[in-house]
Amino acid sequence: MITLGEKPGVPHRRHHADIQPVLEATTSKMVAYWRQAGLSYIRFSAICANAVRAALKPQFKTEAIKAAEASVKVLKPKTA
Amino acid sequence: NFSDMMAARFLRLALPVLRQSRSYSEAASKVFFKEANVKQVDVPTLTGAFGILPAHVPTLQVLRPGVVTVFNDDGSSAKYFVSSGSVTVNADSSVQLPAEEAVPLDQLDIAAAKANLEKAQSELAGTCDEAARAEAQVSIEANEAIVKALE
Repeated sequence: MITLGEKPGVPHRRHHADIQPVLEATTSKMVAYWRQAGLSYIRFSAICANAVRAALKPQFKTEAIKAAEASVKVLKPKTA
Repeated sequence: NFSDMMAARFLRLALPVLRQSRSYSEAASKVFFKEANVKQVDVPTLTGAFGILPAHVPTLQVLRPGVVTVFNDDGSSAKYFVSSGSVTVNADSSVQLPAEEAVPLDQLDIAAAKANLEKAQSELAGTCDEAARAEAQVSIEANEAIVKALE
């Protein structure tokens, strides 16, 4: 049985808008190099998805890129 | 009896492609398996690749770029390359595999992947800060995984 969520007694870490599963029975927690460098899983996933789309055969590529652009629009909010 | 128990433990697999930020069940643009009974699913995760058989312990894992292999009951298998996403194995042996990009292997071009890999490697050489280096490294590893899947 897995337990998802915050471990009781562990100080609350700042939230990442991504998946950070709590694995049962881990003695040492491996931190991925990209997370260590400050990248969120969302960013990691976006880079990987771009790599896959860029490696598609031409007949599949344009459709995949169009579908990807249609679903998520990235807007950088102006910080006050 | 025992054989009835084995028959009752099947893998139901849903493999949608996660394209939008809303709930993935309605927003998936491609669904490869919807409530399909299969024999085994091999998945690539951040902590290693593993095979899911019926009665696998419930788990939640994060996917890394790699090949998902679905073994059907009749012995045939199908391979897909997934960019990233998650895998959930439930207590009833149902499996959900939402992925940001999931494509059949034959839709990928190994020459394009090799060219992109070289480009990513040269981009790594030109980076200075840790975040940019990490981004380049992610791209390198994704392209390496694509090349490996196709060779």
